[in-house]
Amino acid sequence: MAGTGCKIKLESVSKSFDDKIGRTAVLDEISLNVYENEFLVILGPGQCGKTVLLNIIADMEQADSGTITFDPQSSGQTGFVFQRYALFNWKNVLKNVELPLKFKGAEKEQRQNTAMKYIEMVGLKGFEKAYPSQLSGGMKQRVGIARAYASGNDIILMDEPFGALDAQTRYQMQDELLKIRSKEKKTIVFVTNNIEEAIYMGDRILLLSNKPSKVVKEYVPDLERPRKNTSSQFMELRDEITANMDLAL
Amino acid sequence: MSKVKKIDVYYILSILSVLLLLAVWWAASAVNESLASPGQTVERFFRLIENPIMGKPVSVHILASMRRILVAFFAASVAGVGLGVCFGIFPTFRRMFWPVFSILRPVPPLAWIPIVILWFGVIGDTSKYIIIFIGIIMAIVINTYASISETDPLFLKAAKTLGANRWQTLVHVTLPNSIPAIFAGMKTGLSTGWMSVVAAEMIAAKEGIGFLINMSMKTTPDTALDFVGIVLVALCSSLVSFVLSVIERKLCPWLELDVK
Ligand SMILES: Nc1ncnc2c1ncn2[C@@H]1O[C@H](COP(=O)(O)OP(=O)(O)O)[C@@H](O)[C@H]1O
Ligand SMILES: [Mg+2]
Repeated sequence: MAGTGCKIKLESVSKSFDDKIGRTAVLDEISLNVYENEFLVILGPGQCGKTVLLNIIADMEQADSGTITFDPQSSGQTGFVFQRYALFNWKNVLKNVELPLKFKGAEKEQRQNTAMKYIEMVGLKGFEKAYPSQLSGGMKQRVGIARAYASGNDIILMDEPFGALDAQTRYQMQDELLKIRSKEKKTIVFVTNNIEEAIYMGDRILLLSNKPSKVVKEYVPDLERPRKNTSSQFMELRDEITANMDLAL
Repeated sequence: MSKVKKIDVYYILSILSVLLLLAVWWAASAVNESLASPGQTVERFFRLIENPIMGKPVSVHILASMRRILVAFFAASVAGVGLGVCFGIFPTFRRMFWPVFSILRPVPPLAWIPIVILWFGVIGDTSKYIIIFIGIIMAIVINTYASISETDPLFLKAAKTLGANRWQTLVHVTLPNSIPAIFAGMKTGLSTGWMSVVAAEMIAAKEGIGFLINMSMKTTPDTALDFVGIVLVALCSSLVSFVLSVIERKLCPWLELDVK
């Protein structure tokens, strides 16, 4: 796989859960590639299995069958950005962002320098000493992104990272993330249930069906950045995806 | 501005409620003359300073009780958090010892007094420390364990994606997340602790506030002396609780912040 530019390769990944009602199939033979430094959007209706899929990639859950292969040059570790931020309330911004480095045993000075670099990158300079409870939702997610970058992993998984934000903040954060991404190249897998967000952000979009979910279609928006959601091409693509996307169950 | 006013109102309300308590006490003592009034209690306190019981000044009694509660509290906090953590993170340990703990937990600490005295004697503080320790530790174990086992799975997931091992997860995530619950357990433990201090001193001590209270029953009933003891326990326990909340605030600066 080395040299193909393919960071992660999923082949026929399936996953079901046993519960009281019986067996629920969630992922049905999902195959996909994630390429180096691309911004891959995984778009699907609510409850279709997007989080389960990311969990499997992040080695937080095991697939029932299928294989996941990482580019041998990659550590196989992934940074994760959560919809509900998952910041540690008892640590200030700097300590939160430093944490992945601390877990690796990095020296204090190196930890602080790296953390400060990413805090600046997400536009939170001056807020190092603030606690999460003092921050707005958008600022919390900036910390979440800085923390994932500070982990040093070249792949970052984002699970509906802007899903808890109000519309205005959401647009702002979308631009912010695109800006961050232009400053430091990472391979990003970005999960959303929002079609416009998918088109606005993605180099490539994979559309999932309702569960048991499969990859229904792939879109590569041929739109110049910054994309405008009022342009006719944007709206055409939006209508096309809307027509192909299942409604959430 | 409005915030300052609000604090003032609460402050006045607190003072009013203490005054109300004193008024009820005073009224009860007026109706029943065998009950000492607040004034008689203050007077009794000064008489106690002039004529110490068995030659021991009041300060000796206060310090004896304070020393017992503080030593036992410190030991019970360390042991209680340790046990709670073990119950929280070692399933095998929990399966083995949780039943034992659950059986012993509801036993009032005072029920152990005869055995403890038989083993450790009346002289010296060991027996008192043990009784008070038992009184304090239960709530701390329960709260620590409950809080650790109910840690939001999202935090654990985040710790894992950040590369934490088990020990790092405990130190940086699970334990700090549990600090408020642990302090709540300590506060509950302290009130049982004071109960145990007084009871243990009433039964087996030559000094301490509980000893003073016990002396109030020795000859003719001396309710004023009993009230002196009650007020001293109330003041000492308020002082300890106050210091504990100051420590908690210092340890948990994030809890005091205004939520945006
Ligand atoms: N641990 C679990 N146990 C049982 N069912 C689960 C579990 N995790 C997920 N599921 C099922 O998988 C489905 C998809 O969940 P999820 O991946 O969270 O959806 P979403 O696409 O909204 O992120 C849910 O409807 C749920 O029924
Ligand atoms: Mg989800």
